[in-house]
Amino acid sequence: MNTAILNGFYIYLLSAVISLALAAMIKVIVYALTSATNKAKP
Amino acid sequence: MIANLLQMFQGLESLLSSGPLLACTRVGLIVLGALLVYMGTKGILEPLLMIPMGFGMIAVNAGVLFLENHQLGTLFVDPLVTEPGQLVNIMQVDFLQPVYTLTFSNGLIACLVFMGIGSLLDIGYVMSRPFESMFLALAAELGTIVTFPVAVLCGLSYNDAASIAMVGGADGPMVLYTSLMLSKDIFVPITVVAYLYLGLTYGGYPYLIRLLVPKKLRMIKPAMPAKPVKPLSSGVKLTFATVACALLCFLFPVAAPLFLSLFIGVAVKEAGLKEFTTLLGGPVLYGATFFLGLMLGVLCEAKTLLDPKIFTLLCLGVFSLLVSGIGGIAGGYALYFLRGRKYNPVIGLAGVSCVPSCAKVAQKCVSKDDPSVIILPQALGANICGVITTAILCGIYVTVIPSIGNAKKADPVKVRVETVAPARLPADSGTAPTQGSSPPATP
Repeated sequence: MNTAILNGFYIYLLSAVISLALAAMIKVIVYALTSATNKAKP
Repeated sequence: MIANLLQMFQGLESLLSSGPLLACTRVGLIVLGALLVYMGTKGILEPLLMIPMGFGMIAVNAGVLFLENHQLGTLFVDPLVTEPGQLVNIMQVDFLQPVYTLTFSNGLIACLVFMGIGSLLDIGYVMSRPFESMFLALAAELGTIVTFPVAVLCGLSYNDAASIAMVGGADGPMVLYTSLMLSKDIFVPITVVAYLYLGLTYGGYPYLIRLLVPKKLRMIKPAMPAKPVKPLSSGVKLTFATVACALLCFLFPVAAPLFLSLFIGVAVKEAGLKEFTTLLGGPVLYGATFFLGLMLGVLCEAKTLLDPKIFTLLCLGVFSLLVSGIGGIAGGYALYFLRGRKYNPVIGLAGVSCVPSCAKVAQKCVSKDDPSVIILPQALGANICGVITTAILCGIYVTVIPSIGNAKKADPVKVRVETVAPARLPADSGTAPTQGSSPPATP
């Protein structure tokens, strides 16, 4: 049971890290592409 | 005379000759099937799924006949046969066996539904507030995580516990995919439980919101942004879909078909491929949903569902969904306090990934108290993130669980031979191939 709780916790932690990394990646993509578009405008 | 009549109407004879438990279960499932059709027609449960499922349940439990060697069976599908020779035989007899073998047992149908869902999603809602949406989606995965150790405590193996825990993600195709990968022997009850409960979220979650969020908080209007937000271009959304798909496939190759299906749907929509968008969001999605419902119905055979684990699965399924709903609202409350009490906690419930039902439920609940409160954009963001986090958790479960604890080894490529069922041909069929004529089994 304890091992199952621990495993569940690790799995949640891993999914949280990946999800938040995806969120950070979205921010980077939006920032990079938006600033590139703005720079390209005359 | 009566014996002759019964021989003519084999459905009745098989009902009378099977034991009282099996007979009662068959009758009970026929009644349940009719109830599902009624509730689907009335809009209490999802009609697109419940009407085919109800009819499937009725037909499979009424249409039991005597096959070769006086064995009871049906002419719909046998989910337990996987030995190639028998499979070829049965495909020529059971009319839904080709659909089951070629689309259901390899997860294709779940992927087709996911492609359709992807083509309907607008990830702009996620991309305009990624951290908020991801936070709520993670909070709403609480049931998926908490149910896992609880299920282990109830005596399930790690594989079965992970499969039933996925019900908390409230995403039918994902539950189907996980249980096919991890618990092939009980994937039928798990998927049926999942789809029955997902129908109930629409009716049950409003009560949870009213119970946990006071009316004053339900009427909070979301803060307007200081500057008007520019809509994101399709190029930005397409870039995200491409990078996220590549990254997640790298991390979880076992769940790569799911990620591909979801993001290809998104990409098709954002690339402006109208013909493909119409194809995926229309015929593919609705065709797959129809056959999914029908197949789930015909898999609800009394002898399949007379599994001692079924009661445990029923309890764990509802527990998982309930905890996920509570987790989502708790996430909403966390943002309410972090944002200086100016955030509507109801948005948190939309983190449960039943797209778009949970977002619609959240909006409906606040509109009932104050029609001027619009939380749908935030709710849809959390809802779509819910799909992504559930896919990530599915990827982690199918990758990690087989390698830890008392898990049974999952083999997604080779199909396990669970039971070698006797040849299932109608007893009086003269034209159907017999067991002896089957081609030799290939290793």
